[in-house]
Amino acid sequence: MSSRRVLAGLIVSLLAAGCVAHPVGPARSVESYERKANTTAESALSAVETVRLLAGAGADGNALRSYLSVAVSEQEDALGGVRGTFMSIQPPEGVPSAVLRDELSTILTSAFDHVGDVRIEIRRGHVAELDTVAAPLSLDAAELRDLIEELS
Amino acid sequence: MKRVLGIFLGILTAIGGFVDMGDLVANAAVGARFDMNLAWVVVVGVVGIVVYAEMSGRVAAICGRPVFDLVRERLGPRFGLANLVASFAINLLTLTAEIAGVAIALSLVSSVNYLLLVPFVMVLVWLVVWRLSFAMMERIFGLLGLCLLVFVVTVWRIGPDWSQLWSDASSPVIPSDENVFSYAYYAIALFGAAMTPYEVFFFSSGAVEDGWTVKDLNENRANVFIGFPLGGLLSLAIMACAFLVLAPADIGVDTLSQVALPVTVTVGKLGLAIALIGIFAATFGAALETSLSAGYTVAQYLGWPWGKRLRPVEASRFHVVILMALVVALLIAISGVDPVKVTEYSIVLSAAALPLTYFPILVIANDPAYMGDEHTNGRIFNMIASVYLVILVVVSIVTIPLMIITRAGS
Repeated sequence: MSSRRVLAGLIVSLLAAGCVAHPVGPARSVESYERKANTTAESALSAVETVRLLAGAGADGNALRSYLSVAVSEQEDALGGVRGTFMSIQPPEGVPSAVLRDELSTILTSAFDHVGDVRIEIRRGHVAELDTVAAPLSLDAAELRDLIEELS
Repeated sequence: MKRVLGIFLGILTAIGGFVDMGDLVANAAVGARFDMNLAWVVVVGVVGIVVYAEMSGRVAAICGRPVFDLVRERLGPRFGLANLVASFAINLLTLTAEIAGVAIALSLVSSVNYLLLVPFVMVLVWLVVWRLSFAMMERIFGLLGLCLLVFVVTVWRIGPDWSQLWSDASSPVIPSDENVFSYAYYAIALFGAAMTPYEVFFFSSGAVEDGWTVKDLNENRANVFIGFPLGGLLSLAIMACAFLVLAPADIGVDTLSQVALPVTVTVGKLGLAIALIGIFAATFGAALETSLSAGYTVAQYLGWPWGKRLRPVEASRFHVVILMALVVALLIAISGVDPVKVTEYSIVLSAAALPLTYFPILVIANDPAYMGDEHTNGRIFNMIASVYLVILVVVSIVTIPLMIITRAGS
């Protein structure tokens, strides 16, 4: 194999390995696990706050139903994705990591369920009541913010 | 009226170039993450694209031939081939993202999964390229793209503290929770998005399609000095909307639907509808530009008959290349790959290949054999263009290392 091909292969491998935004795998230290938890919480907070804004816009009669339906579904998928990614990470041994895993998992599951409730109500055509349906998301957002603060 | 209609080539090129699928998401993502601290990059990008698009339009008007046609002749087949391979590959990635972007825009008004709409969009793009005249195409999509001005209206309706907004934009700092590498990576992404190579290929080929001659040099300037700054204004408005509405709520932008959220919250249903029309037109316009650019670059390099001014039977190979590019883009898009990621990579990779596109333009615009003595670049113009060429070289060198260091900006 020529040196050019080896170099090209190396570059492609580096790019493929280096550009993965959220690698799944064992966290080798508590600090590394906390960083992954922090990233997960930030992504989840973004999804939760997006749905809260969408729900508010829907309740105020400011948004098309089709737009709300697709946009909330996207955030539900995103939330499911970050939850799945985080839960698949092997935490390091020790109580703090286990506690952190349980805490974040509980918040993510709760947020995922509440976003699902919003999506269901939109598809049922109950857009005017979205404010009420989305109300529990404010607590999820507050808990995520507290956790991010704790981890920073 | 003819003069007004004449600037739609620049408007379509700029809207496709500045606010296509990648730019819509990138501008909003940057506004939500870096506030207005990267607004200066848009201004730098606008000046750069104005300088080089003016040159490419002037070359096309004087020579009656587009830039890519002249690259091989002036700089040789090897340089031309390197340019062709790099620009075609990046173009294909961008086309994939645009087709997916159009499908997503349609899904937001129909609730149909965007993957089901992708084949429909591909056929629609092909039909427009095949059937619609060039002038009609640039007018329809240039005009509809102006719906994106609703983002400017949104900023105005939000009523921010203008002096604070100006202060944030004009005194950029790296936010405390970001590092210099991620800041530089996004700066390059914005700069690459502003100076996407297909813009000059499309613009100069479009000038030939529109039959520009020496008499149209003023039309060239009007296109460049109105169209591209307008594209820059829209970029800044999208960035400001995200900064004012999404950043305070800790929202990061990953999807096209989030881009329209500030308009929805501030202007309401009508604003959302106008924004979605604008997003559809911008992404569709960019899909037309990139699919046509695929045909332009290959046909011009190989010396085949090209263009929409010819009947399809007279430029059959040009149309076959476009059709093949559309089919490949369709196959990539329906594979389920994230269109936002595709477009982010295409922007950054195009930044790495920028000198290949812009260096030949500078060479030809200075060659009296092509331009005649009176139409070559002036001294000040050359100085600005040379400074930009240095910037382009630096950008192309640091892009890939930054992409690896920042894990593509994550």
